[in-house]
Amino acid sequence: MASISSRRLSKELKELNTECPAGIKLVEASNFDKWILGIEVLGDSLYKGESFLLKFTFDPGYPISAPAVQFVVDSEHEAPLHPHVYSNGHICASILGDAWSPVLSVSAVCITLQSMLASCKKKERPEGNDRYVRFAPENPKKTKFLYDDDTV
Amino acid sequence: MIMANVHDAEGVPDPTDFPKSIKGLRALDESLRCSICLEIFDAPMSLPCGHSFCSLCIRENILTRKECARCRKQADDFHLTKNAQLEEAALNWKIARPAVLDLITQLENAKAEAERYRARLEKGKGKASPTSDAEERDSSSRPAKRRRTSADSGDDVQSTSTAHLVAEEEEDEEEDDPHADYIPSSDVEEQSIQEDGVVVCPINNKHKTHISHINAHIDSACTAHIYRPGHRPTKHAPASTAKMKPSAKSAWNSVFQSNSRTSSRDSSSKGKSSRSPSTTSTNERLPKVSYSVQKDKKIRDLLQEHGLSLNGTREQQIARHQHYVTLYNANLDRPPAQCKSTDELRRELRKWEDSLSVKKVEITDPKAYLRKNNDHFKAQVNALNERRRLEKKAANEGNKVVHIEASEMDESPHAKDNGTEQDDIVSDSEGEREIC
Repeated sequence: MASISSRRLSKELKELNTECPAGIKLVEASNFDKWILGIEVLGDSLYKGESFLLKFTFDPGYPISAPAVQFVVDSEHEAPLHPHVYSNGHICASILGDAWSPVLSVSAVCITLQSMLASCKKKERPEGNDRYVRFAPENPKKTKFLYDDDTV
Repeated sequence: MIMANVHDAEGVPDPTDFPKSIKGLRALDESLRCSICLEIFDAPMSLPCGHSFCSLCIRENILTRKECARCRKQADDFHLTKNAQLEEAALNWKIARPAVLDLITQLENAKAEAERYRARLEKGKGKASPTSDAEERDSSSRPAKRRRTSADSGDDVQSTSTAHLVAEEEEDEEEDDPHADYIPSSDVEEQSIQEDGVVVCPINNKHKTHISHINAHIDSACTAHIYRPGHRPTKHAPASTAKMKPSAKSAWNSVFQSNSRTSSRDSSSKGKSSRSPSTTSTNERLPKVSYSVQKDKKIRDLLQEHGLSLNGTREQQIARHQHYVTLYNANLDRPPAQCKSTDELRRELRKWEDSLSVKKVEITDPKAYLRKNNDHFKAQVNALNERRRLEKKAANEGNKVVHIEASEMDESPHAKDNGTEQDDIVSDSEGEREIC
């Protein structure tokens, strides 16, 4: 029997394959360590017509421990310009850190991030972006974010 | 379709096994699953907020966060209470599930067969004279109609002898409810009420009429479509009906039989345990340990007590013991028949530890590996150069010093502009708490 995390991920994968939520697309899932998903914001928003890639990295403790989620930043892709997204793709969202719950799933995270982008009122980088990006650890889970904006 | 490691994705049952067309089945499967592991409940435990999870899942979750995974209400393991009713439902569903899936495939096959048959009929239809409305009301065409309904209650396959006559009608009626023949309960009921679809009029309780004509009969103030017993339909059991029905019946039987079997077994095992409490008294829960105040030797003793490995660092030993206690206590929540032996628990513990150990990446072809990761290496070298340049610049400026210590970067990166002052990265974000 496969381990709990891979069993659970295979169920999630099956569901994503049968019915992906609108605006979310499975791009790469060749193993149970790292998945790439594409998201775009549907409807009227500041990100109309833009699409982004999200990288999910799972550890063996998933789903008890949160997946590491960040936007893919490479020669073709950029992180969305958003007050909670750093230019290296790291996302400051409580559900990816302290407020993670094992009942959340890959698609739930994608939907949350979609709504985070959709509700954005001003396209800007977070305060202290340059400083953070310069010293940020590679794994966003190692960053201690302080969540102080409950408006979004 | 993207598949992760096909061997793992295959054969993992999940709610999408059930077609959406059958109302509620998928949701039922979902609701009998733990929302943490997405498996059918194994020893479900309830929290005061009313949410239930597998004993092991919620215990592990409580080790990291003392809250309900669904609603985030504060929770601890002493809040957990056994949910015996849910456990029974889950156990029975585990048995019924394959039988129900089997039934669905059978019905789908029958439907596909009917489709193929209809397609064949459409081809041959040109020769047959279409039945007019008048003819339909005529008693001579009624037998065909009746046969049609008896087929309706079982499946859609017609006997060949009347096929040409009813071809037209059938086309109309089949559009009625594409899912009607998916719901097995309806055909069971229909059969118990009427063998050949003749019912007593509910208005005058006197006239008999065919069930498919009951509305027309009532609309005509109980004058039309009165059933005359002389015109009994000739029983034409279509070949495929005969083939399909017994197997469908046996599938349902297996559902009910296995149900009664488990419940009787359940009750007997429960009775047994209540009669002889001495056997369960040895199964006391393991207490939690405050590891931080224990000496290394004590932790080794704790491991030895349960026959666990003494390998690894103190942290690894603690994690091993903690996980074993969780496994052990969760095992006690299982019904006696499903309790695992301590040997099995130890095996599970080893499997868990193996899954935690970092997989070594084997590089078989170093050149290919270099090529593949060249971009990444380059980016790292560039980042380092950039960092060095900044450091030099800062040093040249004299009064401001930049510290870069990789180990400290995680929690307290030094602010370049403030020199030696340390401050955590403060960023604004929201707690998207509406997700629960």
